[in-house]
Amino acid sequence: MDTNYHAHQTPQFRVLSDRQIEKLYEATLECLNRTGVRVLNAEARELLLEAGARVDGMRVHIPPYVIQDAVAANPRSFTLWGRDDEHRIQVAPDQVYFGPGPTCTHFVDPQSGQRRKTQRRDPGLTARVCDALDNIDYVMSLGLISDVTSSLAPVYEFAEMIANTGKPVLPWAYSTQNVSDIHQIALAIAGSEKTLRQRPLFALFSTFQPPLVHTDEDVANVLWAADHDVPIVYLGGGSAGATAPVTAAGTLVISLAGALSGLAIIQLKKRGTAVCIGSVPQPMDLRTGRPSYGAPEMSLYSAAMSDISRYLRVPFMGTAGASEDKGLGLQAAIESTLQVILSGLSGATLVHDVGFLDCADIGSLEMLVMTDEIIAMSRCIMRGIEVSDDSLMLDLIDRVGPAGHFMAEEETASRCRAEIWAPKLMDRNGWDGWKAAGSQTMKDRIQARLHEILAAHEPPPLPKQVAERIESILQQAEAREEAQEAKG
Amino acid sequence: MDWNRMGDALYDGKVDEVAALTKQALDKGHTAQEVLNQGLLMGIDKVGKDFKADLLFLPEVLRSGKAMHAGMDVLKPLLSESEGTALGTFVIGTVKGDLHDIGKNLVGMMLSGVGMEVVDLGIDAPADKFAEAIKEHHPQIVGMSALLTTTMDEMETTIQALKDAGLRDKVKIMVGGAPVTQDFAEKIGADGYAYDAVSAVDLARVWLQS
Repeated sequence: MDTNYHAHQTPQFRVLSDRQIEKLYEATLECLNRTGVRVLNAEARELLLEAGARVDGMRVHIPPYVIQDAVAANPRSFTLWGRDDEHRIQVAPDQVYFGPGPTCTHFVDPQSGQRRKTQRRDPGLTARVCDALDNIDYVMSLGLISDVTSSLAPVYEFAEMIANTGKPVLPWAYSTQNVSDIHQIALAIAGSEKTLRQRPLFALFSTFQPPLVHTDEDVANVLWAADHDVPIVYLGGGSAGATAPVTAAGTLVISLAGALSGLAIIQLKKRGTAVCIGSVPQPMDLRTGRPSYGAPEMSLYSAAMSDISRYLRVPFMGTAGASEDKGLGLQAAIESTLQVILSGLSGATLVHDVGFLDCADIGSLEMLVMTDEIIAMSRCIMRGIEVSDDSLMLDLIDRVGPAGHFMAEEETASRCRAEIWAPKLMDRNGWDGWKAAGSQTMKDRIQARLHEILAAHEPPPLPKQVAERIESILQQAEAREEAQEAKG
Repeated sequence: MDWNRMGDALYDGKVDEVAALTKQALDKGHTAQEVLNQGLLMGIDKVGKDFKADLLFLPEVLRSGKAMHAGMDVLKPLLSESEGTALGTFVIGTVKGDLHDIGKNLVGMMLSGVGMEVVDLGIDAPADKFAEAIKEHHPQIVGMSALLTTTMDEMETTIQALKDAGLRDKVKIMVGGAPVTQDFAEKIGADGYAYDAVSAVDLARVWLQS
């Protein structure tokens, strides 16, 4: 056999050299020790103090060994389960999965095509579409529900999502009470505490605030999750020029310091808790001051974060399929394509925000459907090229010979699906064929596919008693909120 | 006889299995016509439908076509000429002066893949070669291809030659190739134009059914 030879190597986009990665990591350790982070949660400050950090009011200076310990304690790989077994995902560096993002204030109504406030049913629609799309691996809501008791919006959101997909779901929460309610819903599905611990049906998505702040609520939520063996995604930004230094390196330090200090808090609470760190490092727009999801720098910085995460062997949440466009237009296609291909090639583990428009303010199912196709194209490239005796096919070439053709050969039929990608949305007809198929634009085809999914796709059904149990959890939560309001 | 099994084998392009099952069916006392209609034609019909529905891809259709022909080879000696070419005969060639055959070959393979009898005249085929093939093979359809604007007029010459030989009305004429258009097809007196291999098969089917 050949030695020292890879038959199949995935192309990889690397932004940082090994030495640059180490320098950024070391700079982050120095920043956490010297500058420290503002930790607004008392229990977390206590945990850090016990571990050897210096606490000065809300400010916590974390020595490098606490961070290095946390990195070592975090599982390099963990499994997230869906309601059906076939959709479980292995969250680990170099595995790449795509899914939507959370909390868009607005949603594009799939019937009218108009932007409106997000409604209760929208996360369920998102989940159903995700369930049907081959290249979407996990579910987030694409919406912040506006028409329910606002403090319970994340709970309703989770209930809608989990009922409409067999894939893993990533909810978020305002409060530990929300996390507890969400956990109750997952328990109703899993059947027992033990099963849910062994096969977690969700990971809690939570955030830190750049620069260098951990809020009381977010930290309380992740501590609750760690205590219950719920996997955690802990993500924050860093907007170059605004909430981070204007340089890419400075922005990476801010992003990494937030993520790793959060990781330390979680690992100190319960060593071995499964954590995926995340970051949406982007530049501030120089005209509006808004963080720019659509900026090429966002993809560049995120790829650098992937490089660092791979070096640390900590799974990383990246960002793609998130545009500044206000509808499904040319800008959305351009931004999404660039983000998806670079995320895929950089090896981010959980790539999220697929379906965002208007810088995370609008959730769009059309954008989700379009980006599914872009992901499929990118995965085709990520697959790389197999170079082996088998794939060189010299015997076949010899058999067919000059001026022959390969189209009707057995090898062609048996391998064509694995070797050549067949688009679902991209048109490859000639002009006449395209006309005969109805002269549809890409947007027409995206909408047709979306409506076909919404009309016909059936996610795995929830057993009746589970659905009833979830409804009663929601009713209890409402009653509790009412009682609290009456009291307070 | 388990016709579904034969249909499945054909669908999956299992050449040897289709030939063996065809022999087996005859051994069990089924007539060649029964085997053709219940087994092979039913199977190839599903292949055609699934290709249309994007469930099968070109190379898989061609593989099924090969399996179909393996069955037909067994049946042919037992069938009359018209039964043996039940799905129709299609004479195809690239017209005189033109040496391009990739598109023409693809059309031929597709037609063959859906079970039609295809007589391929190759490249650079002059009008009299088309005329002789019509006399010899009695096709329902003649397909002509040209890739060059300099050779596409040869199609008109060929059609005129078939008229002169009294053969024009015996066949439907389909034209295709990159520079060819519907307008051009009408202008030179062809019966139809196909813009790609799949549309050529569709048009051939429509003609053969009418």
